[in-house]
Amino acid sequence: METHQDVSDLRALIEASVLEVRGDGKAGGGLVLAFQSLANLMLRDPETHVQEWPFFSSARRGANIRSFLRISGRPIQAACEVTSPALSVLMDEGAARSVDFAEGVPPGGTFVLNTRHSPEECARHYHLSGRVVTIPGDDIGTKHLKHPIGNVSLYVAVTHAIGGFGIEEIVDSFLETLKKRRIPAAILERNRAALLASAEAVREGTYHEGAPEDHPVAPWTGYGTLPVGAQTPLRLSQSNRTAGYAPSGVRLRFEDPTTACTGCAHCITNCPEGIIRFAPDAERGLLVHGVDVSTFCKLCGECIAVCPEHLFQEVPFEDRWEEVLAP
Amino acid sequence: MSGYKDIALRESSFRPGSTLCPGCMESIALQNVGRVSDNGRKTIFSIGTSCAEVSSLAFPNVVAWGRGDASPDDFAKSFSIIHNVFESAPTLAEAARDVSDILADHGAIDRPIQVIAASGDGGALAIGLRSLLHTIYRQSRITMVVLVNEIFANTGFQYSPATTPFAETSTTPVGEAQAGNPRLPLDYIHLCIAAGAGMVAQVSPAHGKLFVKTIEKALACDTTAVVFVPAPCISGWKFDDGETVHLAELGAQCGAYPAFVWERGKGGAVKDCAREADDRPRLEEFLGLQRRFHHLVQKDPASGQFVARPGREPDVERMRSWTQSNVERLFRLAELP
Repeated sequence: METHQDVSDLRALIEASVLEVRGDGKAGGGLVLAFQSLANLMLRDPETHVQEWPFFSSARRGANIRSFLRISGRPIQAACEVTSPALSVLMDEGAARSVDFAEGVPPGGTFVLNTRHSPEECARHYHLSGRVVTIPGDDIGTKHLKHPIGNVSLYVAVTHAIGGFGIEEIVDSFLETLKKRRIPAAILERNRAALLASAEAVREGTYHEGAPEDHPVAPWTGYGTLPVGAQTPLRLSQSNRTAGYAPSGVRLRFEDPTTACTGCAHCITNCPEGIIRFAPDAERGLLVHGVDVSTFCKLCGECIAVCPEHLFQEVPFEDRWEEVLAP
Repeated sequence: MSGYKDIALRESSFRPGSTLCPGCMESIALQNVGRVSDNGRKTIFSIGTSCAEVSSLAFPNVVAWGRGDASPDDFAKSFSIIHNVFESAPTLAEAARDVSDILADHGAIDRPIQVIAASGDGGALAIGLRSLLHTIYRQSRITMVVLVNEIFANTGFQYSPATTPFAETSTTPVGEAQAGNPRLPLDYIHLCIAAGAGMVAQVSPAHGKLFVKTIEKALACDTTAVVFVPAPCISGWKFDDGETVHLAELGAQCGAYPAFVWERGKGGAVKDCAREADDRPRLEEFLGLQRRFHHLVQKDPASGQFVARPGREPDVERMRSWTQSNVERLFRLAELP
């Protein structure tokens, strides 16, 4: 791709060269389905060439995944990761904790975010320069699909960002993709409602909050520097801080002001991550005094379910990622 | 034998940082196996390809295994892992057992070594049934832990020989022709007993005390011990967060996979599961929690209970008679000497 291309007009980009799209999300969040529907929508124009592929690891739920999409009026020869997308998509704000979703986006690029925040807040928070499109997808999902899943809305927001589609074909393409996955008719109708509601909820604006050095492309030094068995820098970037798998906006808390813990040890044996903090205790055998949520807690909720004294709970928490809970 | 709390205080060799799904029973099971095996002996794990393997031994970030800050010279705390393909977990463990026995015979090592093989139900019962049965037949002194999630979870939720009847998997979809898995599961417990295992058990960490006791016994067994661990799979069985342990317990009580411990020469017992269907929890409650049985049951808005979907009553009845025969079968197996 030429370096000084104007990337703000996405339609013109499809005509002139290739529109490259990159999406960041979490496994199990529906990012792949959204991108498949986008590809499906693009392919309705017989002149358009589309390439769509997701990148994920063996982790099935919660781990960071990426999806790539190339759209062009000409046959697509490239078959590699998208490193400087004109359109960057963030499916889950939690995914942005592990990777920079805006990495390599040229100035004037387009950003689509699934978030409750306004485009302006997002531009300031993530240092974005260009067109910012936001949609509160999780809320729409909760309302229409009884589940905080934002891929339906995100898909609509991306079609809005590219522009030039009628609402009919936008809805049909998504429902076709769902039908291929044998989704029951009742749920298709709920998705239709969510799609139509999403079209009303898109917000956008153009901002200049990013400096040129804000989202540098990670230097690519070739495969020779990687250890044997490693695949790409993307694979290596997946850290083992599995706390990122947890849903955003909530966190586990252990509270035991009256020392009600009976030392039954059920939370310790049933914690998949082994992060319950405890100490030997003369009276009870052992006494739980906290849980290390900073690094590894995936918030699976097993401790909440097994504790007979109900000492664990899920609590809402804002932005700041608190470190280890003090004993 | 150590107490439950003593074992909870031990240091597990399975550490946080695996990429397993939130609430995965395999990681709960491995945490506990790692704790029980912290008993002053060196442990050799042989792990066949499975979710547990690919998610915890991802190169180059092998993050989920390790035991505290113990130095590698601390023989009692040390452990090692050999990975090989699906069917090779028991045979490789057998090789490790033989080599360590030869080394011990020649005085090269003076302390006992325990060998644990771990594999999924697909790896142990479909791909690797032959190697599992022959390892048992050769009376190799290993502990085989089979994590039974009733599907090939790692490759995309295809059915396995342990899949419950009527379960929807990616290769037994629900349609007009069939309502999920049409087959009955393989009688793997009886197979292992018949092949000559010294100890066969089926218990999940939901029965915490029984589980750690069983693993301890299995490690002390002087021939092959096989422990099947029913492992509800949050992505494949499709249930809500925080239900894993509850579902594992409920399934055992309903008769889908009752807790069962059998030792050669001592006989066995079915634990926490009544022989009479009326004394067990309702089967519909177990089915209703999992979306892989969504075609069989639905929630009755009036009573709040799960009931069979209209037209599906015969299938639920067939399922009920299967659980009854399952429980009867295990009670009969428990009477074997």
